[in-house]
This record gives sequence, structure tokens and C-alpha cells, in this order.
Amino acid sequence: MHSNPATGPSRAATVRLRRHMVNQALQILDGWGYDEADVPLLSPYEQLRGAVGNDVDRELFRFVDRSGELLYLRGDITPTLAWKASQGLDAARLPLRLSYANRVARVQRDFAREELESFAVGFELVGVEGRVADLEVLTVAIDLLESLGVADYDIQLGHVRLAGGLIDAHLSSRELRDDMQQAMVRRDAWCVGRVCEQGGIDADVRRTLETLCRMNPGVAELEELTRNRVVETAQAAGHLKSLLQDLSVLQVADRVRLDLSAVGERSYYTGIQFRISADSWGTVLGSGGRYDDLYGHFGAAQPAVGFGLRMDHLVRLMSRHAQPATAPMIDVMPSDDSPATDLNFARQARRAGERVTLRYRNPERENG
Amino acid sequence: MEIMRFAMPKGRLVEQTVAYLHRAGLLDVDTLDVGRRLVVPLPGVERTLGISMELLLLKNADVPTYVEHGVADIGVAGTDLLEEALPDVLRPATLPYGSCRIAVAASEDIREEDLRQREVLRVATKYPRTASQWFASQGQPVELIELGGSVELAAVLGLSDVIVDLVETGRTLVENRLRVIEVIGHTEVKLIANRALSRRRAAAVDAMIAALNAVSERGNA
Repeated sequence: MHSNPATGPSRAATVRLRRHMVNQALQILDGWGYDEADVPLLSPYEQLRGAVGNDVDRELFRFVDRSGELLYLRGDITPTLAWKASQGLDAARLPLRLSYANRVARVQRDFAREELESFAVGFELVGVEGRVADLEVLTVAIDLLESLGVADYDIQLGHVRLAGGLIDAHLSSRELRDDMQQAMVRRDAWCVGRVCEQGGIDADVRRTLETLCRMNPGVAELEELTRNRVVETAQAAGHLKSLLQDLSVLQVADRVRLDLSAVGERSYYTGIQFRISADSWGTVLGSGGRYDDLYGHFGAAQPAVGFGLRMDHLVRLMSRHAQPATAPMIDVMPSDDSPATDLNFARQARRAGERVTLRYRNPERENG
Repeated sequence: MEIMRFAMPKGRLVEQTVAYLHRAGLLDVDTLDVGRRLVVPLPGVERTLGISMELLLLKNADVPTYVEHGVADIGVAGTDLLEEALPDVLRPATLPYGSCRIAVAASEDIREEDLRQREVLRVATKYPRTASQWFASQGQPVELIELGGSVELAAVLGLSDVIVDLVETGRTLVENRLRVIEVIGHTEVKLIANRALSRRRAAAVDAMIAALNAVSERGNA
């Protein structure tokens, strides 16, 4: 294959594969009624202030423009899209189904280093709450993965109010709640036990909290949580149980692993939270969740739920498999005497659907 | 055949962990002759957990990276390392060995009063994040000197005023005429796991932890 020295053959193949997969993803989302949104590259930071937590805030690239206004670069797309979509939101046109495919700049940890740029593809369903909307987003996410060729995907499904309800009900100190949340994020049952001791939590509740840290909790644990005395926890467990039943009807229940320790991968999550990984890839490929309070911050309170794919990881995973076929390239080297004739030949070949590239003499290569 | 990979730092932790896995009935042997091999099968794990497992022998600091990357499914790492590198890994179990104190130490010849009077304290350490957090919490300005090993030497030869390092028995400090000024924390050895483990592998880790916990409970009974 002809190679471009500026990109190299493998880089070019990766970019081509990504473009192919992004187009395919947008087509699938279009098929489910999601319209591609125009997500601004630069937005005024003032709009976002107070609407998102520290986790989103510290990932943003911010700078002052010539007029002195503080702007941020497109990072986590969900809050930016929520701000944009909430402007002049027409309730009669709900639900709103939005998709996006953009390069984003955010400070993220990736494989023990900081990743500043990545490519995000995702979708948001705005204006519908409850089980059916959650199920729609899970179903579309699954369809996306299957259509993009991810055969061995796995869904980790949780609900942020399951552990969150228990923590809020049993720990009054803000500091201990933060410690408990951190222990939950790490599934560190030992630290959970230590915080329970510090907070004077009784043995039964401690046992329940430690159970939430299990790597692969089963339906029996979830069933028990539906009877928890903390109403919020019981309701969250009931919601997850209903979704599991629905996913079983969709014949994907064997792909689902419960994550009872979920406390909010993003601080704006208020309901379900899910992560998608593949057995053949060691890191999370995408994540999503419900965020019912975010639109309210922008003056247009609406429930919402969405999902985003980490396209760079997905492309690296899929590049192990067959690449989309490309036609061979015809090299045309225009002569110094009659370049127009040669270019005319190239033009005709292009019109006939051939891939053509013009080659020039490179004395350095010839001498080397 | 599906194989789980267990990353472990070369050295004493391998011996302790192999013996612990054996006591839990997860391994057929209580010692492993690893020689110079870097990948070693763990005999008996398939029978007990339903999935084969092999040991990856790595440098201490590389264990969390392999697990975060998903090249290893699980691993063993100290919280000293985890709190410095902050890898995005799960920490589903704490192992009952290898815990240490993390302490500020100085030469026996320096008076604590003199140290308190320093405007900016020079601190040599392998743990800059832990050290800076602790001194910041004390309101003490410091100049951090990050070292890769033999940290005690920094205080002995005057490269730093104090060191922040792990202290297990305290013998190395005594032999180098250093003393503990203050214990600022404790480290534990954690079983760590990749976040994106499949259901089958996650179930195997749960079964492993249950067996290990049973040993600890028998030990405490």
C-alpha cells in the first residue's frame, strides 16, 4: 500500500478505521432516531460553573479569550450538550434524542499516564425517566457494540443510589462519607470496614456494605437489597432487578455483571450507571448513566440518560481484526515535460473510481 | 484455554502469597521454585477456581501498571505504591502480611528542635506524594528530593534533613544511626484487580477472596 510519510501506514489505517467506525456508529444511532448534535468546541465556562462537580471541572482546559471571558475546550460532552440543548428547550418536542462524535480535550488518566485528547461517540436521551428509558439506552449501547463487531462485551450495571442511600443514611460526617465512597469505588472491603468502625456503624449494615464490594455479586444479594430498610437503597435495587429481567428477555442477561458498589463514576449521575468492557481488552470501552439533575442547573429541569464510547480504545481493539477493505492505489508520476497530460490521465482514473496519488521525485530517497 | 494472570513483585511477597494461597487450599504447593522464570504456572488453581492461573514476576512498581492495563487480571501491591501512582484498579482484599509503618526519620545527631526551626525542610523519599501531603497537613514547607532507593543514605550524608520511608523492623535505621521522628501512616498489602474483568474472572476472584478470608478467620479463631 502507498504510504504517506507524514502519517505512516499504520497511523493512516487507524485514522481510516476510526472514521469508518464513527460513521457506522452515527448511522446506527440515526437508525434509533438520534440526531447528531453540533457540540461547540469553545463554550463560556460561566455556564458550567456550579453545574458539575470537581471531577468534571478538573478535567477541563480553560483559558481567557481576548475579551477577558473564561472559556473551556470541549471535554466531557454530556454537560456541554445539556447546557446547549436546554436553551429554548421545547417540552412539546420531548423526548430529545441527541448523538455526537467529536474529538475532546480533557485531562484523563489512561494506562498510568495522562491522556489529553481522545475521540468520543455517544448519545443522550432527554425528557424521559424510569425503567423504559434506561432500557432504551442500554439496548442502543448493546446494538452499537454488536454492530461495531465487539463480540465479547460485558456490561457492569449498577445504581448510584444503592450504595449512596446506605452511606447517606448511616454516616453523618461528610469526611467519612467521602472515605466510604472512595472505598466503594475501589471495592476495598477492608477500608469499608474501617470507615464503618470510625462511623460507629452496626454489624448488619457493615456486612451489607462489605457485600457491595464483591467483584461479581449475584441476584441473591440484589434480592436481599430490595428488602433493605433504607427505602432509597431498596428502590434502587428493585430498579436494577427489573432491568435485569428486561435484559434477560433481550437475551443479554449473561453479559451483565452487577456492580453494587457504584457511587457515581461521574458526579452528575443520579440513577443507573454502567460500564462496558470486552474480555479481549483490558480497560473500559464505554460508560453511561442517568443524570436527572443536570438540565435543572441550566433552567430546563428534565430527566436524562446517556452513553459514551471511548472510541480510541475501541479502534485499537478492532484494529486487531480485519480492517475495512480499501482499493489499491495507482501511483502517477507526472513528467516535467507534459504534466497536464499525466494529470489528465489521473483525473480520468479518478472519474472511473480508482484511487490515485501523484508521486514526485524525492532526490533524498533516491540517493539514500 | 483461558488463563488468568496474577502479577506479583519478585521477592518475599511471592513466598508469602504462595504459602497463603496454599493454606487457603487454592494451590497444590506451598513453595514455588521460580528460578529466573518470569511467567510461572500456579498448579492446582484450575481445580479449585475453575480457571487456570499463572504468575507474572515483575518489578514492584510495574505491578499496578500491568493490572490497570489488563495484561494481568490481578496482582499484589502495597498501598505505599498505590497511593503514589494512584492506578485505576480495584483493591478487593487486604492480605494479612507485609504491612509496614511509614515514618519520618532523621540522623541521631540532629535534634528535633533544630529540625522544627528549619524554614524549609529538605525531605528525601521514594514517596513524594505521601510526604508532601503529610508535611502540607502540618504546615511545614519542604523541598522534596525524590530518590529511587537507599533513602537512608540521604540523611546519613546530609543530602536531606529527614527522610520519609517504610519502616518494617527499624533495623536498617538503627544500623545507619537514624531514628524515627514520627510515624505518619501504615501501609497494607492489597490484592488488586483490573476494573474490566469479565464475569467469569470476577467470579474466580470472589472465590479466591472467600477462600483467603476463611484462612484469616481460622487464624483469628
